[in-house]
Amino acid sequence: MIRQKIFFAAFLYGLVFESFGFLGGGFYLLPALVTAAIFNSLVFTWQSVNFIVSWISGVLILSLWSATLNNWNLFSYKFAAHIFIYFFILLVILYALDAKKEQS
Amino acid sequence: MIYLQNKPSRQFRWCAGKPSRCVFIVFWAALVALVFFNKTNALLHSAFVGTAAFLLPDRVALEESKNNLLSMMQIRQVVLDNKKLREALGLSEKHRFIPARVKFDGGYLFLDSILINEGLNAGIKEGDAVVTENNILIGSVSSIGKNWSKVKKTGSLGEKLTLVASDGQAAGVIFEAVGLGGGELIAEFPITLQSPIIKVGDTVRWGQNNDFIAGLVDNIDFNENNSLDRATIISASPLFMAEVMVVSENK
Repeated sequence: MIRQKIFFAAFLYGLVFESFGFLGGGFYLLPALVTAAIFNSLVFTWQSVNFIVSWISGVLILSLWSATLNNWNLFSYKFAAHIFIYFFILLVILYALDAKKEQS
Repeated sequence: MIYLQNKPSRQFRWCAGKPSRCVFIVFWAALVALVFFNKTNALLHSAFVGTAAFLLPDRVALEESKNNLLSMMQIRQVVLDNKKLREALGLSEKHRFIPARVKFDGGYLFLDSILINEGLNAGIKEGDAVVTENNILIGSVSSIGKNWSKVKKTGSLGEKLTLVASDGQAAGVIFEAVGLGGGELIAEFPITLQSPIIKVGDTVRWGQNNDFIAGLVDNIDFNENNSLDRATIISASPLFMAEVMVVSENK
């Protein structure tokens, strides 16, 4: 079953970053939605596995997008840390929403 | 036949497996598409950033309001004196420096982006340079509201910047650098074996206005198989900033 709450949380989260970040054009919003979709569709019983798999896929998507924006130059360590933190916080929110759903 | 009791029934997970699933797909597609329309995007942008600018605490606002009247009197006198001196020296003011306070520094979370408390009302335009009091280039205004401006910092991802070397033998060499995010830039130079064009520690200035320091050369990647040297430049903007100056061109 689709969990609208998860998508809406990812949408709002992406939108906030889209507003405050310097890169527009869905740079933050679309990978957040894709990560939420992956997290939603994964079927592992251990939620932590879903968390890690969707975190890695989100980081990969945004890393590839960043590389294409930068003529395939590697981005700095600071930017890499930024991507890791961005998806970590997103998935913590999604995980919390998911856990709440399972409890209720 | 084996009946699996715990096997989940096959259903279309995206849309609740109901006949109305297309409605959900259309809803999400429309919501995402709406964000990319210019007007909606600008509205959302203004709503988020404007609200944040309004809600963020202003530590010195109270103190300022107390001294406002006294300052007004002093500023008026200083402006008159300045005008007289400029007329006497025959100076024409090409740029206008607009002081602004940093309301929000993105840090690692909102990388390469800061929010300042002056905007269209103060005469700031999109693309104006933002510098510190010590003439260090911080970035340029990327989006603007009535009372706020968002600044894209130097060395943000994909940003192309024209720089000028200002030290040693390389002084005056103009080159282009590309941002790697987080205040790092990369530039390529043709290899000259006798004397390297640029050295580690050299200062580089902004191409559009040589008065402002853009960064320092941090590392040079020398590769014999390559015909180019790759220099990494670190932005000179300080980690913590309270006040900045927006450089606006006078018409």
